[in-house]
This record gives sequence, C-alpha cells and structure tokens, in this order.
Amino acid sequence: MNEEYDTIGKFKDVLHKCLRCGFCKTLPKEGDFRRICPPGVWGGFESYYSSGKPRIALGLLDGKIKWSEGLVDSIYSCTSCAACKELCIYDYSGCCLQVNDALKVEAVEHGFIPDNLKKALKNTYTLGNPWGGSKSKREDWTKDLGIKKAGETRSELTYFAGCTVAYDPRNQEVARSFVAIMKKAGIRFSFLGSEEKCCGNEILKIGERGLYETLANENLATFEKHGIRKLATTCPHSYNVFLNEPPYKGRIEVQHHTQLIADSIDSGNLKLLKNIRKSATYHDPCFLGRYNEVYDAPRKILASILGLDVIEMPRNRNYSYCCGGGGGRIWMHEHPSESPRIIRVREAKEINPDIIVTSCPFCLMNLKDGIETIGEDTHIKVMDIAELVQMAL
Amino acid sequence: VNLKDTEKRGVVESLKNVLGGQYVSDEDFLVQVYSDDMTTAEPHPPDIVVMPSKVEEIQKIVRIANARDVPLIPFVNGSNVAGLTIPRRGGILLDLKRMDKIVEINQDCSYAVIEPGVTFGQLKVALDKHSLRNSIIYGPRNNSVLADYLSAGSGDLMTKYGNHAELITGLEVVLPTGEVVKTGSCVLSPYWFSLFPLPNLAGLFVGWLGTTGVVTKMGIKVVPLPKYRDVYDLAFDNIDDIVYPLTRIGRAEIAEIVVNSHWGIIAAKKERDKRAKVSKPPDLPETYFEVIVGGHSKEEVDYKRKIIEEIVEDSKRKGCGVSLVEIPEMEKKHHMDTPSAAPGMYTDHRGAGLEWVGSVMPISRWPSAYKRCEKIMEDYGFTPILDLEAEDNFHCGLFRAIIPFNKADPDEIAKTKELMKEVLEITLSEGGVIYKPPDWVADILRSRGDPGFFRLMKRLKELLDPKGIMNPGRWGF
Repeated sequence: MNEEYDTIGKFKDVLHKCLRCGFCKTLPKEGDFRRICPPGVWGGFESYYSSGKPRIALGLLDGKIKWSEGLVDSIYSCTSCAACKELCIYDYSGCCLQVNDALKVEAVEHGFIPDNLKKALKNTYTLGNPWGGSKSKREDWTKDLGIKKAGETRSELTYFAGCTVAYDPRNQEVARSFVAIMKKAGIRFSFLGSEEKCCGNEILKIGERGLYETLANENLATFEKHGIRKLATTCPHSYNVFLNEPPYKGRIEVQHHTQLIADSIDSGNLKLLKNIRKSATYHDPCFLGRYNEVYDAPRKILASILGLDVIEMPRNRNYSYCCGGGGGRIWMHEHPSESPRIIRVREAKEINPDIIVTSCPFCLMNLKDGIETIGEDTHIKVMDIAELVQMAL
Repeated sequence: VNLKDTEKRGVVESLKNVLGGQYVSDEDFLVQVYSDDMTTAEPHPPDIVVMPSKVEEIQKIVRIANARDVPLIPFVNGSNVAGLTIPRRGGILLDLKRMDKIVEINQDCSYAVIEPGVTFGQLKVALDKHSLRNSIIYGPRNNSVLADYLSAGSGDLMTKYGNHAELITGLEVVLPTGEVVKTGSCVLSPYWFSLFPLPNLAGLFVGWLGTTGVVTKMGIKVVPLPKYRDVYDLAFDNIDDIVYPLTRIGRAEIAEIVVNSHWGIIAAKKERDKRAKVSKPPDLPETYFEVIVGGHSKEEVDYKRKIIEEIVEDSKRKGCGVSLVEIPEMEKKHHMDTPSAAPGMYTDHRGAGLEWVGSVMPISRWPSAYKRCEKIMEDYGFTPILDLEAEDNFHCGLFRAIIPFNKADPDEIAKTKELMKEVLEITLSEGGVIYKPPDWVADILRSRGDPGFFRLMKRLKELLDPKGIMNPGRWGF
C-alpha cells in the first residue's frame, strides 16, 4: 500500500505547520489572484479550504471533533485537484494533499461515506466499475472497430480505456477517435475489454484502500496473464494511478494519449493535414497537469493543427481551475451556482473560443454539463483532443 | 464561557432565519477551524460561525447578538499575527469573506471603496486596469485590505504616504446596536474622497480592533501606478550608522518605501536545519535597507538614484559605514513584488508559529532598540530577525522583533511568551507605540499609558457597545 494513503495519525507531527496564510486559496499574480480551491469557493467556510483540513485532523486526533454528516461533507468536498499543494510555498506543502486524502481514509474506516460514493464503491466491488455498467457491456464501445483483444493479438501496447470511457456514450466517441488515430499512425495495439477493471485511482482518492488494492492486484494479474508491459490511456486518472501508485508503480509502463499522439506527430507517423479554422482553448486536467506535469504534449498537438487558433484561459497549466470531478466528486452533487464546471465554462467564455479542448473523461463530462447548465446562447463546444486530432487527419 | 446548548440552539435558529442554513454553522469541526492562529494566543473556538453577504444581514445578526448578549468577532483571513480574531469568550464569528465587492474605483478623486472580504491580490488586479495602485502589505495576497488598513497596518508605500490607517478616506460601519453609520465625505456626498472636513469619527473605529463595530465599507486612497520603479540596496555593517543616511533619504522625499533585510532572515533562510539558531555569518552586513523609488519617466528614477548616490557618498565622508550594493535585475523584481511570501518566510524555518510586538517609534531610536532586541533574542536562543520600515517620509518608523517559534513545542511557546515580554519592555522604553496589540500587551499598555486616554476609550466603548459584545478581550474590553 502506498504509504501516502495513511490515516491522519501519521501526520500528527506536521499538522501544526499550516499557518493558514491563505496562499492555497488564491493564485499568485501570474494567475490574476483568482480563487482556486473549488470547495472553498462553493462552501465558503474555512473548513472547506485545504488550510481547514489540518485543523480538522488535529481536532479528530485530540477528540475535540466528533464524526458528523457535516464533517463528512466537508472532507469529501475536496476535489483532489492539488492546487493547494501547488500553491503552498511553506513547510506544509509536502503533506497538505496527503492530509486531505488521509481524512478520507479515516472517514471510510469509521464508516462515514457519502451515499453517492457508497453506491460508486458498491458498483466497483460488484461490477468492477463505479458507474454500475454491466461487465458484458464494457467493450460495447469497440463495436465495428475491428480491433483485437489482448490474447487475440501480440502487440507492444494495450489501450486501457477505463470505466468512464467504457460506459459513458460521449466518452466512447473519444475512444473511437483514439483508435482511429492509432491506426492512422500505424500503432499496433490491443484492448482489454471485459477483462479490464476500474483502475482504482478514484477509489483510492475516496479513501477505500482495501478495494483499491484488490482492483490493482486483479488488473496486474490480467496484465501478467497477457504479457502486457505497456498501456495507453485516454484517462489522466488511470495514467496517474498506473504511473505513481503502488502496487502498479514500476510494474507497468503507461502513456497518456496526449503523449502518444504528440510522439507520433514528432516521429512523422501521424500527419495532420486538414485545416481547422476554429479557435480553441485547452483545459488542463488536474491528474495530467498538476499531478504529472504533462502540460506541453497537448499544447504541442494543438499547435500542430493547421488553422487552429489556440488561446489560453486566464488560469492554465499548473494554475488550471479544476472541473470539479476528482476525489469522487464526479458522483456527488454540487452547489449549483458555484459549481466548478460552470465557473470554468464562464472563464472560457471570457476568451470566447469555439472549442474547449481537454484530455480527460471527467473534464469532458463536466465541462459539457457546464455549458448545458449555463444554457446561454453559447456556441462553445467541448471536445477531447483525440476528436480534434481525428478531424485534422 | 461558551453558550449553553439550549441558548445556542435559539441563536442558531434566529441566525438561520436571516442567512438560511448554508451560511450558519455551529458544528464542532467547523468552529474548531476558527479557534487558533499562528501566534502563542490560547486557542478558543467560537460557538457559531456565520457568513453574511450584505450589510442588512450584519445589522440583523448584530441585533440578535445584542438581544442575547452574545459576543461578535469580525474575521476575514485571521492572519493578523496578534490573536485578534480568537473568540476568547466564544460567540458568533462573522466570517466576512463573502463581502468581497470592490464597490467603486474613482479615478478622478483617486480612491477605491471596498468591502471587508476584498483581498490585496484582488484589489491589485482591479487597480492595475486603471493604472492605479494602493499600498500593499508585505504579507499574504489573501489578506483583507480593509482589516489591515483598519488596524493600522504597514505596506509598500508607507514611507511616502504613511501608515495604512492614514490612507483611509471613509467608513461605513454597523454599530454594535445595529445602526449603520458613515464617516468622511461620504456622509454628505456620493464621493468617498476624504475623512475631512467634517469631524473625523473614523477615530472611533480605526485601531479599535473590532471592539466598536463592524466596518462594512472603507474608502482608501489610491495613487497612480508609476511607469518606472527601481530598488537600491544600502548595506550597513554597523546599525549605529543608519540614522544619518536614512534620515537624509527621508528628507529628500524620494522613496516609496525604505525597509530593511536583517541578517537574521537572510541567514535563517539559507540554514538547512530549520530548528537551528543561526549566528551572524561574517560575510553578511548587519542589515540591508532597500530603498524603492518610482517615477513616471526613466529620468525621474535615474535622478532619484543620483540623489541616493550623493547621500551615500556624503554619509561616507561623515564616517558612516554605508555602501550602495547593486541588485541583480531578477532579484529586484522579488524586492518590489507585493503582496509577498511573508509571513511564511519567517515561520518556515522554525515551526509555523509567529509572534511579534509591532511598534512605531522615532527613527533615532532604531539603533538602540535594534541592538537591545537582537541581544535578548540571541540570549533566549532565537535567531534575531528585526524588521524596520520608515513611515511618512521618516516622521517615524515601524520597528518589530519577529519571533518564529515551533507551535508544536509547549516549552518553546512558553519561552516565546517570556521573550515577547522583554521585547515589549525594550520597545516601550525606546518610545515605541504598539500597534495591533495582543490582549496581554493591551493590558500592559492600559496600565502604563495616559490614564485619561484609556478612561475616554472606556467611556466611548460603553457608549457605542453598551453590552460589550464586540470582539471581547481586545483592548481589555
């Protein structure tokens, strides 16, 4: 088990190091001092911010705080976006994110889990995915694509679609675009289909360490069975867990599709020949950007598309504003007026692009929903970068 | 001293009738988060935390508190370094972050009107668009402009324009009895350009540490953003040498801010062992003084540099050990960039606790106060860090001994408290006047200062806040 996902007791000696200066609440000058912590924005009280969490942890350890519905709501308000870790410049920066995670571990161990997350966990336990899709439908997105499963073909690369891509109809389109790109680039690959299980990244971020370990070991056994050494994924959450979290870490190679596409363009195997006369802005997913510092590959791809006018939102790269989908929040309700997805779409409207491009299934769902919720006469579309690349082929 | 459960339930219900359920909480985890700050002040939670967004809501909250004798504590970021928002007797904590509107930026009369939740970062972005600026703290970007100006804070235009309290042009206040009052030109005019010529009633609220009302709007002076700025570093090996050259710079009226960098903070930042007491490295001067100047043309800034060079040369001839040190361009940006990374740059090397007794004193007393505080801090086993900032063209100067300590070490907390007492005695004996006094300091000031002044404060407090609900404990109230 990754030692970072421990209970709060491990952090007893560092919790006092957060001086509540507020640096985690707003960006520096380069980000126009905009507010950056999604739960802080919608919840308002100090307890919603990352700086509230060490005080809650200390209160739990000292017995001054008892478990309650409100406490659980506050703990699970964290979208795991890691902006606090990015912005804390003091001694506490090394553990602010881990403390937030540890509080979730603690909540699970005490049996305090929000209802919607209980459902996601139960689905994952029984069906192998948090969305509640049946195992038999996991590979429906591959229909008519003529691609082969691991075990049916020998390939160096296996596409790990992930649960959201496998079951969400909008994200299935992304998977199909990515398959078309890989074929065009001459990449031989397989997929796992119904043998694939939830990667576990969100399960870990919810704090269910036991279920995460089961999933990780089952996936690793499947990789072993088919001799899989390298994965490609269109999901930054999967990318993160395979790259950084034990027991996956060091046992499987992984590339995010933005990296693979950028490499294919670089090597000349993928040529983007069509002119796309649109303007586009790129939304950095937290688990690709802040967690893994993949900022340049997607921008390199966009710069390679002829005719595309790429403009940045005020908050970009490591200062990107979370769509609100991480840390299990994709399965939870949000404050309607201060919802991160709406705030992010409004920010995009400030620069008025034709397309918000992203590279994460959660971001795609949330930003699409944000545009629909605003319900204004916006022409802005949300696309995954793979869809845009396919258009340019 | 906290409310009884039955009493609290009634207050919570009344508050929810005003604000709805979302912005009222008495949950233990939530009040706990508001119970401490970075100082040695004893933590204590409020009973209830509320987040109003309108003046009318504050009026209703104040009336509820008044009717039931419940304390009210105004709060925005809680980073005042004096324990001033710790609810010593529980009560209702007013978290004012939602009141974050910049009500007006008036370019003709050069002022801005702001609500309490407006941060230094937020205001900077807004003023930049109009090529204006305000005096900004050497502190976190998320701090409240209103709270800092109201408590006579300091900032990066202090040498040119004076203490932040002197930059206030108007106030709107909810009194402890629920009425809304204004003071300044806004009493009679739509413009918030000055506290005068009407009687200046801002004195009933500025420096009172939230004990006389809830300030809901503040007008502050803003000034043109200079097109050119530069920073010059003066190095001193002997603190006794600072007065002559600095006073001459003050009389030349050319500096936005003159602020020192003590060897202690430079050496502590370089020290890898964060718990270590650091001695003065031989290669560092005793202190640097940064002189920041601005101008609307390059020639103006160059001319100011010429004046500083002449003052340095003249000072050398007079026997002062001062030299003008060239600062690399990259570092200049760091010196001029506010809001800044303080107070973390102080606390980080010790353990996230921070305390100081902030004072204003004659510049001529700086060297003596400096040497005495440096010695006592070293005697107590702390790396000395002394902060000196010139005010209002050197009419006086801010002086503070900065004491980072380990919040997790009870012995060190006790030692810090003892050291603070010694520093306070030195500061007072050098003619220093304390700003933002922690409760224990306020008690000492009341016993030492002019009795007539403190009697008048008491009478005014009783007049404005007959039930004594506003921020109890501060100023001994």
